[in-house]
Amino acid sequence: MTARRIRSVLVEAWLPVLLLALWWFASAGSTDLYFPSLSAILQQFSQDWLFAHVGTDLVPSLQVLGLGYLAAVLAGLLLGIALGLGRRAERACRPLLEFLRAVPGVALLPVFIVLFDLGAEMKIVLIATGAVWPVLLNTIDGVRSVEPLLLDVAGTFRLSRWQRLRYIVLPSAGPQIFAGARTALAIAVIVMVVGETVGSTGGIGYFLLNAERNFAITSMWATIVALGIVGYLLNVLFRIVEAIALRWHRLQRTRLQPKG
Amino acid sequence: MTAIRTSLARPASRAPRPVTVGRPGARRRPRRGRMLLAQAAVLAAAIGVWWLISLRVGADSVPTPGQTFRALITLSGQGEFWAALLDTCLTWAIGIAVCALVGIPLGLFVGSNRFAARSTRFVFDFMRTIPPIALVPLALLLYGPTRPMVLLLVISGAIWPLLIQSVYAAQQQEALLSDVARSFRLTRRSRFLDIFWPSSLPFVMSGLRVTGTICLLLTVSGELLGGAPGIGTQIQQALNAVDNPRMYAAVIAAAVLGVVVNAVLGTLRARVLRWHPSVRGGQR
Amino acid sequence: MMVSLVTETVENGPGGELEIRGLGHRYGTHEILTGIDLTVRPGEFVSLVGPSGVGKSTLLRCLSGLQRPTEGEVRYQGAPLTEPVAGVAVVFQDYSRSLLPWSSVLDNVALPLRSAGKSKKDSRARARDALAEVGLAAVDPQAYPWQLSGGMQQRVAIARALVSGPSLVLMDEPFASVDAQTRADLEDLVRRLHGELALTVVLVTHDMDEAVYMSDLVVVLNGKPATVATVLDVDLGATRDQVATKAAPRFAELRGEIYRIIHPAGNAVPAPS
Repeated sequence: MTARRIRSVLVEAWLPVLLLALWWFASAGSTDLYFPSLSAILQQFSQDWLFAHVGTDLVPSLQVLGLGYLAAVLAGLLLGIALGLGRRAERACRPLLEFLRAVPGVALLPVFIVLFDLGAEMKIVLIATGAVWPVLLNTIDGVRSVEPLLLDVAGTFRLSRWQRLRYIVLPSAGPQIFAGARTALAIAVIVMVVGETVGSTGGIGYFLLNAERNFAITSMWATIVALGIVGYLLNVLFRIVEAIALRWHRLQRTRLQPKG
Repeated sequence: MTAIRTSLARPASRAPRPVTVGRPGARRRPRRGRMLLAQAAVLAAAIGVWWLISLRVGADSVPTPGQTFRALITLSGQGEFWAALLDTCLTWAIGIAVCALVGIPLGLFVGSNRFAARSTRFVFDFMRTIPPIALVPLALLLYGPTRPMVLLLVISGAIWPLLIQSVYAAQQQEALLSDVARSFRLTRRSRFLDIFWPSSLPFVMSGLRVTGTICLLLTVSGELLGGAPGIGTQIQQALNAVDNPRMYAAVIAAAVLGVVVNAVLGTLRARVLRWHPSVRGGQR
Repeated sequence: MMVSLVTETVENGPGGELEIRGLGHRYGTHEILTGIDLTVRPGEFVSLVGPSGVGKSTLLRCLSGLQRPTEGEVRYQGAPLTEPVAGVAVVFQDYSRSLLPWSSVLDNVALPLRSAGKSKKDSRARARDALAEVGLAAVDPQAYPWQLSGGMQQRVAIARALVSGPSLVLMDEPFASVDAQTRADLEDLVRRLHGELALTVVLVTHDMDEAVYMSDLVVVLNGKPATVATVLDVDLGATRDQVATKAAPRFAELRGEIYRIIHPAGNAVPAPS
């Protein structure tokens, strides 16, 4: 059994390890201004992000991200359920929603700076506005595609509206909602970085741009690595939450042995 | 060789039910007029809210709908504006074409091979979570404020959904159809064209839709943050000139572009997937 | 309407001959089938009956060449059968998933011919003939399979199986997913095709009535691992009728015999007869 385990890990690990090794050796001793050696980047990374600037830059960024993302998910859920259940309301709002969601989040940055001034609130609202759409649209979709048969079942048991929502509609829409929430997370991270490009004085996005402006290329690369790791870890965290919440869905999708 | 003949009479069983083939997905139209009215009302209400905010905060901060509309008219009269829109469209088109031409075949290939799929899983998963924005400074340093800079950003950021969905598509082939293919001894060419490719299409199309949307988002972002020619730069310039109505107008233009892109991708999907349950809706 | 469906595969005479020798199959350490011996003569209609899960479908997969049995062998027209061959066609149980949803009914039926290299025109012409054979001449050939009822879809699947002129047709519980009335129609359709096209048919079913009604020979599978419990000669005559045949006393006798073999009084597995 453990031999199998080891093989499994090897199959999934050999390519990333090989790519890293290639990067390392291809860039070793590099004097290129724009492409420093991997060892230099890693050194800079441990200098900058283990753990010097974590407190001053990473944590505030993550806080802003967290609040903005939560706001997006909540707003998306509530609005999505309301519109998902009310067919005519949803159809009436559709043109407006189609338009609003097509506004490139980045383009709202100037708009929001004027509205909210520079600061944490502006960034939170910006993130929320950018990230709400996948959650909203997927929630509407998920709520509307509940198996009609299950709704009939709810009717025969005379469940109240809240009970129906809690025991049938929401669990059924769960996978869709989580898919939307995952896209929203990716968008939120992007918008978080974008939000720090103008007039910020801290944050990982600001640090990245500052490094670029000051031609601290190695630092810039180290921050890119940091952002990549942060993005990946957030996704892992998300997947864990999703796996717990959607345990039933994962089990249902496991293929059963065909009957003889 | 045996010649086979049927009897002249039709079998005694009931005649087959005549099949009416409506347009796949056609439904009975609900009260169309009333819905259009409701939709217009919602849009009007939104504009109304905008107007109220503008009044409250002051037209210096938030231009009124009227000012913005006038700025939009002015913009549409300027050749520079249309050139910028065209630039963005072109960049988007190139971006999505490259993503599709690289991502789809690569994804389908990787997905059909268990070892390849497992080997690349971590790499794809990791690369897709790198916020594309992180590459803006690097791209700027390498290419300056030009289209290649934006394309580097767009392709490296937007290809992942399409790639990953294509991998998924190759893995989600219906097992029964594999039996059908084998029992009818279909050629390799037939297996690919008649079974593998059409059954991959639903996933590929939904990946294409997401990638297409991200392509546009990254195109405008790249222009706005990097200064390459396009509608994003128009927004940036208006911001620098502290010309709020013009800035709002440019943002709206970008949004309209987004709506058009969405509509195009949606229509493409509906055409290609005429047969798919999600598109054919009303039929059985 | 005179229709000509030309067989390409046959050596001599109508139908093919199937020989199963000492067939057994196991998944891992789990033995499903064991010691299956059976000879199917050309033109015979054979049913494989047994309780759910006994391994009938596994056996059919071995007969079609989709699976190689772990023991024993299958011979078709004298030659060992280890993979799907020309002359053998399969009709699957799940028509909704075995027909291509993205192709029209006509293209679905034409698929085997197109893949074999026939021109589009020829394949479609033959497909039209095949659809007429199964009673779907009035159906719009450009319709998608999912626009048709279940019974019609299964007819399309049968047409697809017939289009390249096979001599042996294997059917895996083809009528399990349709309602009783449609089932009766389809049973008669298959009987008719069997007679007119001189096919050899092996039908897998869990329905004892159907097995007796349709076949010349009923093979009962039972046991763990499954083996041939008994082989019954069905002496009900060549013409079958849904009402008359099923009312005949001999029908009830045969059916009763099958039932008693599958559900014996005790728990012991009956010795193969």
